[in-house]
Amino acid sequence: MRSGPGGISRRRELAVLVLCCAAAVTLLILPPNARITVAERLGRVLTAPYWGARNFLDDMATLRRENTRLEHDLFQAELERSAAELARLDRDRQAGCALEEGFGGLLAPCRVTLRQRGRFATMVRITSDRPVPWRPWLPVVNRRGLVGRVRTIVSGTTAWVELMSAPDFALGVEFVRTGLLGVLEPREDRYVVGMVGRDEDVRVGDRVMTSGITEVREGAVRPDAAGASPRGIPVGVVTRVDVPNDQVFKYVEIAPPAGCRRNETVFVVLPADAEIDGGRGRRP
Amino acid sequence: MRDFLRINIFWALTAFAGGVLVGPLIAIGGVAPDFPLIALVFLGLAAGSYPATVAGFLAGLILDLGDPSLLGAHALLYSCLGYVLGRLRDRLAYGMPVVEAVVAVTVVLVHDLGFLVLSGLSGAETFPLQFFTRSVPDALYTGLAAVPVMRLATWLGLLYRED
Repeated sequence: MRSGPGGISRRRELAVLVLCCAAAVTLLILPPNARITVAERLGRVLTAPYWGARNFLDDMATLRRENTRLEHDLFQAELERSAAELARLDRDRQAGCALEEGFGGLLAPCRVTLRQRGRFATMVRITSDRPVPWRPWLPVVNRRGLVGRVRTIVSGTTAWVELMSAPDFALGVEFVRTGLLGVLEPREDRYVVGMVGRDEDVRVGDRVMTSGITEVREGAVRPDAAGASPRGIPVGVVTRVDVPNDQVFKYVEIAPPAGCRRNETVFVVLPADAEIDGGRGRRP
Repeated sequence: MRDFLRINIFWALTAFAGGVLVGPLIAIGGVAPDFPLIALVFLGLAAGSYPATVAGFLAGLILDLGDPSLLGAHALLYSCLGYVLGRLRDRLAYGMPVVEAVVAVTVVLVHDLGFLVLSGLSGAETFPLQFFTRSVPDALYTGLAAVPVMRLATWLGLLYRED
């Protein structure tokens, strides 16, 4: 019969057991207050680093959830404010970036849970805390503006989003100042608004928003894709305007304010007939 | 020396990562495997009495520090169980999952029985209701969870090395 690894004798094993038991019993028979004091002192050495790290991670998870909720509430408040502003500006024959008054869609807050760190990233994965009735081509926004569109549904809580930088991305946009329409497309590392006539009034600094007119895509549930991408989501600001001599259209370059440069909170803009959070979803 | 390191890494991972990460994930209605005890079973069977007693004392002490109302109770029970498991090392039928599962179930039951008795001695009225409502389901689940852990250890060459 073996006596243990390294040839440790049975007597030594027993001695270790007795020592451990004696130490444990000593701790057990301490008065309650002394027990807590000893545990506190030992804990500082033995378990404090572990609990510090674990509490930090727990706090991070809680903060992320709270941040998602706060961003959702803040974004809704901003949308409500900008909707009121849009109504006021419309009265003055002007416009602004805001969802149109009467838009009854829902904002489903999600976290970006997977994103490629490379320069050529065209998709990100988003995850929601609760099941979302999402469909392909629903717009995905953050508080700065449009990020992309839902591309592939993985499950009720997970989906892949096609970013604006995706090669086949195209979106109907509107110049806020003039109401002029165009089609936004990514081109290499730039974003270009096409189909803008060479005589149209477009200036650097003009804001661009979604027009509510989008492509009808294969797989879209509703034929009126405009219902999936409401008018008024900020898309970018014009940074360059050229009028090439040999072209009938202007060359308009924009810089999008939104992007997925970190694992942030984004919102899927659901249509009016969608329900999340057991029907208690909030409407912008 | 290399085996010593591998065994210690395996039991520490099983005890802490299992208890903190895997346990809550696979818990069913509050019933979860007791990974620190599975780790102790592994260590006793893999390394013998001496390491299992010392490691049991340390693991138990760390558990006690999380709830100092019975400081030393886990340390005492884990030390004794580690010693007994080390002694059982030569007496068990090697490589049989049923045997490993039964050992794990027994260890959990003995541990909980001892702990509840110690709690009772300190004035808490937890015995025997908690033994049947909490310990028995936990013990059965622990037995179930012990089988893949032991199989993994065997596959890694950490258990039954001398056979």
